[in-house]
Amino acid sequence: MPETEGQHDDPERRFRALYTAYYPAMLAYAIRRTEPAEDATDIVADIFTTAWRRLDQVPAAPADRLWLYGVAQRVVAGRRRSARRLRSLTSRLRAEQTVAAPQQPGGRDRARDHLIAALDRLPPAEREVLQLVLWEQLSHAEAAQVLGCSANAVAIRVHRAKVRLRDLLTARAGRATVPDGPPSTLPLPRP
Amino acid sequence: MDLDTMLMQADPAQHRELDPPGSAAAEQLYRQITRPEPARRLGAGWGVAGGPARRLPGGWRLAGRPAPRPLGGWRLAGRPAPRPLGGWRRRRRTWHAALAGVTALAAVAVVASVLARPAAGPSAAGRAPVAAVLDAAAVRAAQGAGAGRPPGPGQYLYVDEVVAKGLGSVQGCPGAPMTVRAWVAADGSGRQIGTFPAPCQKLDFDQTYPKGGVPGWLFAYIEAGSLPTDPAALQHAIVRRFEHGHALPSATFAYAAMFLNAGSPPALRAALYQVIEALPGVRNLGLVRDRLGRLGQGVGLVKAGSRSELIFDPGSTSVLEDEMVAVRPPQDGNNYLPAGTVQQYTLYVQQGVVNSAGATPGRAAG
Repeated sequence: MPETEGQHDDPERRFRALYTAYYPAMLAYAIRRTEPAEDATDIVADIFTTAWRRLDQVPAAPADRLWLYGVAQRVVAGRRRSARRLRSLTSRLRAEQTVAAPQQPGGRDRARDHLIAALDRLPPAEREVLQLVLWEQLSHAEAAQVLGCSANAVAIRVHRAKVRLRDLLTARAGRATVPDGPPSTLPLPRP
Repeated sequence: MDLDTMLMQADPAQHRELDPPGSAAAEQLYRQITRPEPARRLGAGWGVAGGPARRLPGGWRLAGRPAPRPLGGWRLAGRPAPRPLGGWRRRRRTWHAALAGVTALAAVAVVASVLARPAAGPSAAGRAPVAAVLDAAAVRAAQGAGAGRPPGPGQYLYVDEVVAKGLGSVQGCPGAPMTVRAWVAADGSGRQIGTFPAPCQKLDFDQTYPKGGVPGWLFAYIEAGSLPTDPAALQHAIVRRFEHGHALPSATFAYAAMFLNAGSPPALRAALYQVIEALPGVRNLGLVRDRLGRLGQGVGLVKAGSRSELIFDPGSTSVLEDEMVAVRPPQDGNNYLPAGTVQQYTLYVQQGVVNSAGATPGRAAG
């Protein structure tokens, strides 16, 4: 977030700037990790309520963005304590996507559903680091700051996550490599 | 196509329209976060006001965050106002003149309400964060709102409830709420009077029970006195004692709802609201009406194919109703019910301490 002179003197002004700059990013983060319609709004509210309460602890730009991702990660983690709930959300997310997103030629939506289902089967730490790097577009160093580890550790986790993801897709599709097209059958896990 | 490209194309956020920062939804959320609620528009209860953190009995420290502005975006949930039941309450005050007729009428009315009630709540857009709602309830409860007191020597806790369970089961009796009133002494003795209306086989009962003989459905009224008032310890105790050590949020939610109305003291009730707040997935359902037409604050939790709902009076913090409704698949175990099926509910009509098994609060014994 670009800082302006005197913004630290006016908490609401500072919060407004923070909110305006990062509302879309936090909303996207929430939608990527939960059922979009309702939970995402609650998650965004929780993230920014925390920021408002702890405004004096929010670092200056550009670190404020990573600070918010850290809060977002904890908020989402709090809502994902149950593995059962996670599986349920996955299936619901898939169902909603099937309804909401237009079908594309060549079965791309099925491929995406399969990929997301496989992604959800990754260990949480590997899934999160992959999402931060590919979806949130954070560098390894930035992701390391959010996750509280070294950039080297992020690189290792990303590599492992991709290997595991390929294995999952390959195993379920019965193919030797990640396919260019959609896998034939990838049933979702029952909740 | 390589894996990175596939993953980036699978990004769920790219397949949805995101509200921009200046949108109405974003601005409403902003106001909720930054503007304290100046007016108490729901009786005397709202507002975990900004300022220093508060300490509740039992060691809980409520966040000192600014109160969200809940009512700018409040709207009645998408349930029609229940129809007939205000009149039922007036009739209930003279029940001793026509007990059988009143209970039958109430049961029929409740059945009609159940059948007519829509299954899903509205969108959560524009509502206050559920934590703010439950924090406010905890503050009110800690101040003594809605608290009960245990019956003293020679006294009874009077309970008036409409209970319907097993509505979704094949063997159950759909639309058959049990109207029941009970008097519970501190030693577990007492009396219960109730009726199962049509369409089940009609069964009226009037039973007394000896010391320690309190019927199972009233167990919360006996157990409440032995629960800790520290929220973390309370959640642990509920899981250990009633969930066989395996935490199940929907069960914890249901037990917390039960104990909120079980004559519990202020510290315990405040802790119970904090326990609910801590459950993952709990959300604000907005203002809703219960089956008796009473307006209350709804909070809910979707787990394992069911939506648990709790409606409480935000002023008194008393629970008005709790219920469980099947939601659309996927569902767990054998719970394959059509979405919207009401699986069970309890209406809390009245309670209070009285001096004899047959008396009701504020009037002579029946």
